[in-house]
Amino acid sequence: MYYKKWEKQTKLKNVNREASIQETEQQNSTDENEEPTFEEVMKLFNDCDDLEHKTFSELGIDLIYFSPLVDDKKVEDEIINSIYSSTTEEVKSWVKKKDIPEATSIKDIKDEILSGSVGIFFENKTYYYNVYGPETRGIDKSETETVIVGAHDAFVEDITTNLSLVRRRVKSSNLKAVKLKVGEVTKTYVYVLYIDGIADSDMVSEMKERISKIEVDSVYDTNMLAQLIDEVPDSLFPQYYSTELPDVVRSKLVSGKMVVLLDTSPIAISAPSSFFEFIQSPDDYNQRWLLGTGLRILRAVAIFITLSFTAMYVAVITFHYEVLPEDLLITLAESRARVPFPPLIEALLMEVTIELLREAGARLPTKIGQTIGIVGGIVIGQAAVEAGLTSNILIIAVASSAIASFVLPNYNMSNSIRIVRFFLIILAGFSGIFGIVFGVALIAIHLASLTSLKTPYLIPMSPFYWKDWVDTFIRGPYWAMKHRPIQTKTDNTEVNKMKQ
Amino acid sequence: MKEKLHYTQIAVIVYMIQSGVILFALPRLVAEAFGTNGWLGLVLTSGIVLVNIFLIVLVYNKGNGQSIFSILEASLPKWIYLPFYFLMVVNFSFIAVLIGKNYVLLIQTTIFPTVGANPFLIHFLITALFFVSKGIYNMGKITLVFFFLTIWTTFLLLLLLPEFSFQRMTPFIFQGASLSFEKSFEVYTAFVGFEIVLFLFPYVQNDRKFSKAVIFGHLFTTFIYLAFCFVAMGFYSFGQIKNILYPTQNLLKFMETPLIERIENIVFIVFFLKIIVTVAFYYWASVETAKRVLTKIKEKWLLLMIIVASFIFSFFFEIQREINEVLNIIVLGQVIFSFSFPVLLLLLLWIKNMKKKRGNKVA
Amino acid sequence: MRSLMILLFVILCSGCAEPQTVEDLGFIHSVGYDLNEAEDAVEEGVLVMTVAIPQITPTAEVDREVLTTIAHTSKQARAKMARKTDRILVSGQLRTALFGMNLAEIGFFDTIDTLKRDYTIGLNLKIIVVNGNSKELLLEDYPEHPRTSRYIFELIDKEAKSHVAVDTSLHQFMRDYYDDGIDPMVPVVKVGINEIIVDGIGLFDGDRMVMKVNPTDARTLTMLHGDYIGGDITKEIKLKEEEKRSYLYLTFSTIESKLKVKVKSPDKIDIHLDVKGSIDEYTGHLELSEDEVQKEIEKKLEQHIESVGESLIQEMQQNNTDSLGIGKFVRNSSKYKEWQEMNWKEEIYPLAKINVNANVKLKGFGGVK
Repeated sequence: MYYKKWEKQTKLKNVNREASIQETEQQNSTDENEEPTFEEVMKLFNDCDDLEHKTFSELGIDLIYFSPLVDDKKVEDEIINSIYSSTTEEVKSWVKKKDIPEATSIKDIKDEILSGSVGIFFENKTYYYNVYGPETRGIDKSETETVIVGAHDAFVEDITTNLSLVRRRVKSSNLKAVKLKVGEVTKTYVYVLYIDGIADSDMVSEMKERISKIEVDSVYDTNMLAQLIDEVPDSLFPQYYSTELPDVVRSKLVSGKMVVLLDTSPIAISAPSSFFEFIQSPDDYNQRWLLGTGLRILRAVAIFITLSFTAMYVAVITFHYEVLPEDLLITLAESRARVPFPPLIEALLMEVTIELLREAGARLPTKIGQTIGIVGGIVIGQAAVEAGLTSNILIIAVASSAIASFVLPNYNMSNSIRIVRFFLIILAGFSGIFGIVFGVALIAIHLASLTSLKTPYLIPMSPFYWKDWVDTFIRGPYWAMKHRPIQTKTDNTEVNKMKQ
Repeated sequence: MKEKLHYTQIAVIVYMIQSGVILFALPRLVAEAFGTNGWLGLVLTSGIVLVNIFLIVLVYNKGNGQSIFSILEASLPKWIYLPFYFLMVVNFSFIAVLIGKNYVLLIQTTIFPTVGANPFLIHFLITALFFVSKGIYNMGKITLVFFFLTIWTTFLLLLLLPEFSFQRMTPFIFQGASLSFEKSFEVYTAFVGFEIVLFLFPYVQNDRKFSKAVIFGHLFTTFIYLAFCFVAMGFYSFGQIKNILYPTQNLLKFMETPLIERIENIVFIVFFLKIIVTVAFYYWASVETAKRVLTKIKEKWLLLMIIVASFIFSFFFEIQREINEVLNIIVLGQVIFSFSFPVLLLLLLWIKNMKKKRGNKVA
Repeated sequence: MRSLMILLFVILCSGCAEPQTVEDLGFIHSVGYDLNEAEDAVEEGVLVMTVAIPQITPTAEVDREVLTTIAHTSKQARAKMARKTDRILVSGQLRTALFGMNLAEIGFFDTIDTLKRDYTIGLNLKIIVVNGNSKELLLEDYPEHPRTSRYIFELIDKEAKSHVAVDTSLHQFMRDYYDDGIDPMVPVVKVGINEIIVDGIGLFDGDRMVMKVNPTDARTLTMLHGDYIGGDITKEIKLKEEEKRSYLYLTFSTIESKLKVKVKSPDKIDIHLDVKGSIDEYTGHLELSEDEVQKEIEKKLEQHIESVGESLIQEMQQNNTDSLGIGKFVRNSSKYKEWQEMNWKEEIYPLAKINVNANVKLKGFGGVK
């Protein structure tokens, strides 16, 4: 969103921006140039009561650190024990031996302390010793993206762990991780990961530029970051693929895409992305290729079912009775005969109920969630039919399209499709199949003109590149996957080759 | 790298613009124009169209891919080409709206007999507006998507194979019809639409594949037309086919699948996607031309103005007969245009080259 | 984007098509047409139209609603009937059209016109002639077969598979009607006691039914019409060595039949049939496994098919109906001008010499010797 704004106003704003940048730079420069003194630093952290301050008066040493950010044991073992009951000389040699870095400016020491270092003020000099080690969540299975066969570990909130998960998988010096900061207030770390020599360098710099142009107080999550750097913020569809699985990240990196990781977020996004990535799951690659292809086609069918079942029900019941076989029509008409609402209202009622159930199930603890599912699904469904509020075929249509929507591996996309479904149902209620086709036309126009990092969203279907079809609806055999996707614009197109 | 239209896109665009509502009536038109085994007549017609396409390709090659407007403007005075542009804008936008209205009327009479056609036309034009406003490169992509969304309908022909009989096709070739110019012209109009590629010149990848793509697209259309007409002629008896207004629609009416009976209801509406491409590209050509004259107005407003104006124009024609009458006249103009315009351009290019050569000699 | 949303909203508000919700509809499943033979027919209308509509109200006692009226045209009749029911009458689910014998004999092309003109009616509509009155057939209750219209539909569908009847759709009827080399044929049914019985095949001259083929000869007729699979022929058969016995029957099921038509000249036509099949039932006591017996049976069957075929063709020639499509073969083997000038159907066909040659081969005779 900000990217778009920035792109439009770039020329107008450039002057203003430069001025403001200069201003902040000036402010920063005072921090940067000034020799750090203990008093100055303490003034900076005024009222930060979680700041720990230890004084060794006989040695003239002051230690300050944020106890929530550091590993207490490390502080005890590595610093306090070394200083405790030793002479000035000994401390000096300790500093020298350990090669403890010295801070040259206030900004320096401030940033270090904030990222988990102990500031050591000793003989008018300032040293810092990194003992970062807050409590983090252990590596665990992903809740939203489950894999049946394959690696189960998923990203956590801690960026170091996440980077380690990726580094373990790509043991190459060509894996670059460019660190950027976003959020004017929170200064959250963002890493742009790419494989040098595979990823297109223009795209990498474009990505870096977009991220550095973000102007917000804080970025809460990678999904938010994705919304800040995409081209069409008003679109319903996610324009960057997001995942929690390091395995997926690896495959994206190798195919020449970039991956963006944000500190405090367990989600990675990859760019550029195409629509077809959203029907892919790591499971497909672990299966035999025919099975993998079968699964993908199943998911494509699931999208179709999610989008069209209820809408078709409404259209057929309202306008196109002749489409149905006679037997089905009679059962339908019999159960519709008791329903007092028009089909559109009936369908919307049921759809909203299902959405409520889903949302309730997601917000409640797992055990209660299950109960809600049973109560909602069976009891309400059955009762609604018996009370004559809906027809039983509609229950089947709604339920099967709800189930189908959960088949999609990507939660964001599954949500988008579900919303689009409502749009189609309403159109179907007003002008039947014509409405549905009209809606599909609008969606297709939108999707075809959508771009992800300036590359077409529907590639390789439109524009058509038959070489890339081995990894879309089809999960081709590995001997056929010889080319990196054209969407990455990489020069290094052949798989199993690293230029250099 | 600047974005360009890929040659698969051009082939698909040509096919999608060409094939339209007329496909529904085509077997009858062919039977009326050529008589028994009239599908062979399609091959002849397609051959004539190929000559026309060859002219267009020649313009592209001789002009090194420069846009037709710059060829025109380089060697003709303003007072000649301005009225000509005006005519083009009017003709293209009217064709667009009439094709749309024609289809919408078909839908309305067959599926929604109780309502007026104009709400549907509004749906149609909004889609066109949305379509064209995305720009030519995106239009190419969208066309490709629509192609995939509609091409499956062709395979439904396989459902008809059990009812197909060669005996019914008769061994007679081109009998039982008066080979009138009017009727064969109607068949010829089934191919109209390819002339839009004239406007695509500046947007295509500058390689040799352009001409191949256009020809391939046209041959694909011919193939689809042939398939439908061939099947229809073995499905209907000759006397019957001349009696049915829309034989292709009736073909679809006969198909039955276990879950969906009367699949023609769906297929007929899915043709929306095919027709919209034709309409959108005519509007686009219209806007492209208008842009040359009204440089100050934003493209989006220009498009909106043209669409609204043509919509108002369409009010004058309420029933199929009237539309067909007007469409016939306008399409006749279009056919003349698509033949003579490339010739004119070639002439201009030739004169220009001659002048250049003479200039060189003098120097 | 935003402006588009506003436009969308406008459309939705304006509303588009008028809904036809299924529960409000009375979808006609069967329609019956009869000729009004009453004396006041000219004023009241010449057409008796009866429609059967499946019942959808769960509490209703009868499984169908049958309406009948007299009118000049089909659509006028529908308007009259609409006054008698609370549901909107629609014909999109029409599956069978029944024509009373009296109407079929004078021709029903004018009546069928509405069926093909109506966009909502599918082309798979079955055309059936009722030997009797279609109104009575539809009004009758068949306690063992609920939903009469469905009953007829399934009956014809099934019987057509064994070639006792034919399954003629609206499309096929119209196609053969317009073809100059063939005439239509349709199944004929009649009302029995608490049941409907298939009563053979009706052959047409144009839109008039001129001849009826009995169910026993139906399989031979379809053999002459085209290549079909399945169907039985039962024949009283007398083999040489068994002449003393009086009760000798044999049921022969045709597995496949191939038709070849040779046109020597427009008035001399040879029809050659290759029939393969097996014996399903045999009441004699000869050993069927013996080659001699098999050959004899084959010969007898050949004679039977030839004689039945030829007598059928003769009758058809007398009645001037070419439902077998011999005209197609004549047309396809002559030049266009010749064909146009010969007036085949009226002048040459009734007098043409048409021979039937059958060649029967036994493929099997069941699990016993």
